[in-house]
Amino acid sequence: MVAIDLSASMRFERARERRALLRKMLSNGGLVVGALIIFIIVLCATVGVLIAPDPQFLEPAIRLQAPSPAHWFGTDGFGRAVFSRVVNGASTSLLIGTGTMGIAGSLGLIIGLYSAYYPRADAILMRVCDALMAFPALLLAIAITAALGPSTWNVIISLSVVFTPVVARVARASALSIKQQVYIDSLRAQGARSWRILWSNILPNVVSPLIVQATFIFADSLIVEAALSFLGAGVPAPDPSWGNMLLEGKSVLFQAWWMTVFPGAAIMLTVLGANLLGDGLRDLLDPHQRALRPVFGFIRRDRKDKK
Amino acid sequence: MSESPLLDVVGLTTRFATERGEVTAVDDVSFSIGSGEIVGLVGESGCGKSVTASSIMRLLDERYTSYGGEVVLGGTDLLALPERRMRKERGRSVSMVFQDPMTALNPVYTIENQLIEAIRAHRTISRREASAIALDLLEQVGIPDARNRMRAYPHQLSGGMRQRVVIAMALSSQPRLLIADEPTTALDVTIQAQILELMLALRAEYDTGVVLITHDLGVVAQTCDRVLVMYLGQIIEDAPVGELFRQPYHPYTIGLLGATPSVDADSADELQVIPGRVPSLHDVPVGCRFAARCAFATQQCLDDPPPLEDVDGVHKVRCWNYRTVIASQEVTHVA
Amino acid sequence: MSLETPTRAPLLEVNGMSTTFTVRSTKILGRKRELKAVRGISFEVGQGETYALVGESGCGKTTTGRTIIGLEQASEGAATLRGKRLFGEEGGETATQVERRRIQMIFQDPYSSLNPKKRVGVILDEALKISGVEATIAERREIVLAVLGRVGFGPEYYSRFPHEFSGGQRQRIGIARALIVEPDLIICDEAVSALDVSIQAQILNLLRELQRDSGISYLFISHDLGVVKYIADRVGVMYLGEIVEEATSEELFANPQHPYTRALLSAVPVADPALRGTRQALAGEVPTPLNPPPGCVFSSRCPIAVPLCSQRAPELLATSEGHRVACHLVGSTAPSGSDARTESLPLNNEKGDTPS
Repeated sequence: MVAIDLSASMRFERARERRALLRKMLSNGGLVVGALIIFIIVLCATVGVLIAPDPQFLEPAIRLQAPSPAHWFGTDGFGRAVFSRVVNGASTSLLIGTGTMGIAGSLGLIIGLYSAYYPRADAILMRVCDALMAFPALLLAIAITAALGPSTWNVIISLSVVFTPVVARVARASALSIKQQVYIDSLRAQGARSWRILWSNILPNVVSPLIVQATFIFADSLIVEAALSFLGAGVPAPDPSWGNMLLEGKSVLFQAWWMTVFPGAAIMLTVLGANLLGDGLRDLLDPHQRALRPVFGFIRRDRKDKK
Repeated sequence: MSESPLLDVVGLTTRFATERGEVTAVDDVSFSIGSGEIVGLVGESGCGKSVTASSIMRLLDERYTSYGGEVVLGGTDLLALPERRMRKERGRSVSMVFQDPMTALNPVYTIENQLIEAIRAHRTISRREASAIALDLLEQVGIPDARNRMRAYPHQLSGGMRQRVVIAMALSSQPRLLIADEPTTALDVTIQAQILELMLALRAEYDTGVVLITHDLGVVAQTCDRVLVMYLGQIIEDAPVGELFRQPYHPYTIGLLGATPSVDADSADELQVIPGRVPSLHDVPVGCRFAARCAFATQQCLDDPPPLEDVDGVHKVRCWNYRTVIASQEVTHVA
Repeated sequence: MSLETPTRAPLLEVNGMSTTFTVRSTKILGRKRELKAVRGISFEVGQGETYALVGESGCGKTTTGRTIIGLEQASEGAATLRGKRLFGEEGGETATQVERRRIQMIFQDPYSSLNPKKRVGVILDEALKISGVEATIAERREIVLAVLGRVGFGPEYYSRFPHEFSGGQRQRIGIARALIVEPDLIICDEAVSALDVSIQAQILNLLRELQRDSGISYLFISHDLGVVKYIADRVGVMYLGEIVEEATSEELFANPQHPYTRALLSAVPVADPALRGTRQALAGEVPTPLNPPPGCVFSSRCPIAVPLCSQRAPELLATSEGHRVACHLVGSTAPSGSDARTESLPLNNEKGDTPS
């Protein structure tokens, strides 16, 4: 029956596409490294949290001890293991990063698409975004957490508010250019309704640049969260976050370098990984930017005469 | 051509490095042009005609491109020149006119400025002198009210006007060779007629050799002295224009002519469709490149690539079976 | 070619249609200006017939097509399909959504006319869904496969993405999408202009075959006169938003009467070197539609214009059965039955010269 042949053909096509995609992904160095780094961080945040000792366990007797076989990252001012706190901080940071990415991403996408398609909504929504973007990100975040009270969830909310306008702008720009494509005209000529054009046709084409944007938001939110917590307006003590660990380590910066270096390195590594992942995804998803790469060996001047 | 030719292209081969491997976009192309001769380079997309033009001018990115063969213009092999020397030749002895007049001019400078820049690139004269030359050129290419139009910006001119300006710039140094890459494709038919007439007039005036690249057989018929038909990087037929249209030797040329709808034809005749598709440059067939789509193909065609054979001193064809092809065409012509 | 002459009621009737765009001024606080892209045109397309609108850029042919299908809004005039109103004030019932969908469109650019993220079968299936046809998933799949087959694709192409197809193939998919809802009229907006000659021939032959098999009408918009001659039964020549001449294809090419049509035909480069030097180029450029010449729109470039031409716009009147021309001077000066190409037009801008 044709129907069965069709499913087989579809499955074959999809398997073929998946293999090709995998090959492309593995050939991209930045993508692989970035993904690896993020994978390690995720591992820490999940498995590590289970195996590391209690980050809140105070042991004043061994406070401010340098890294040793007993305590890999040393101990902090209260005798807590810096290693456990870094690992637990990972899970907090990941939660904040993905939460912000998810909320800002979805909200920004919807706002951007609406603005691109409906001019009256555009005027209002974009002015609101402009207003929000006029505030320095950090100040806005501080203001919102101050209003809501310090907690991990409130950090996520305030960061989402900060980053949604950015996503909305990217989504709107992308949707506007897609709206010019002939297939959108074709849908209008067929009599398709707006919701179908917007959600079923424009959206899938907007998603690619947005995925890249999302990884950058993840990275940015880690940095802003660290700054917030460093300023005391973020994740409240005694819950560990890389930012408030920096705050605690500030006063003993030179005496107990391990209290700042390890959480700092963790932030840097995670942001680097996210950025590499984002760049790699962009290479993968945007075929138009594929550049010719010189293939060594046969670029030479061929001077022999042919008949 | 009794004198030595103006341009002699010998075995030009242009290869690109791409992600999927090396492709040979132009494969062993040889032809020559005399002074004042207009040669048409015709073919469909991907046949290599534009790459041939860019290769003559060495405009391709040399990190990813390799050139082979010789391009001899007035005794000098352009491919062998160091880039510095080549830069001097570009715009001076050989000029180019591109397809899209909308983007060929810099939008932030006036026409006058751009012309002056082109003129002074190859001559050390004052701006005032260059401006006078520019005015003269614009009048020659038929820009009305040239004195005022000179001070306009490109966006204030129509497509046809912009193309005239581009032609003026190309001719400003009185080059011996002009390469025109689809110069009228983006223009309306009545404007196209004007531009082609202009090019013919200028050719008569300056005795410039012209390589005219186009996919439009009508343009070729009305303008060119000789025609080169390209397919997948090779020249498959080379003939004087009257001969090519009266008696084409290559099945692809016949196919192209048969597929072109004409205002003269009887619309009851079906357009001839060439079966199959042009193969990818990554997958060049063994043997004759056109064999898979050819009604006259024999086993030899599939196995052995035919050479470009000189049939009678003026008409060359790359086909094992051209005699059969000619014979079959005569039958249909008689009928 | 159609098998029947359109003696029945026309399928599509356009009456006095105008489409106006507002253009922002180039100055900062300048007034908005009006660009009348289509100026009060009227024509009909019969059942099973191909009517071509031909002209150069800016003549309004594409805007006409887009207005009829609803992508642009007409500022004046009316159009009906099978007597049902598409837009405008004239009497009769308004066409329902279902009836509107009996007009479909094929576009010029094959590379952006298909959603790159959707498989080809899904694009066609979506067209069915939009048209509101009541069918199960399995039934829809059958219909999609059938129409793919009609344009020459086997079932294995259902799950391919647009980027896996060449330009000509994508255009065939575009045709499939127009066909799948079984329209009465397909508007072909420069549908073959972006294709190579041999692919163009394939598509034109496909369109002819589809018309022979199912009696579809085409409104074929093109700037290429050779293509128009091949595919059209009747032709309307447009210039600066107006139809200046209309006739059957044979009649128009054998006996063009309007000076613009004659200039246009004269300018087309024919693939026959023996005919060199018999053509004369029309001088000047198309005036901007923002500021058309007074009187006849062609008067600024017309080689035979007289003072009357700049004062009063000529009407599109029949000079013989089925042949309409908008020119004050036709009838007295146009020779009949002569070959347009060897008739050279005086190449000058002086008004008042009589043609040879």
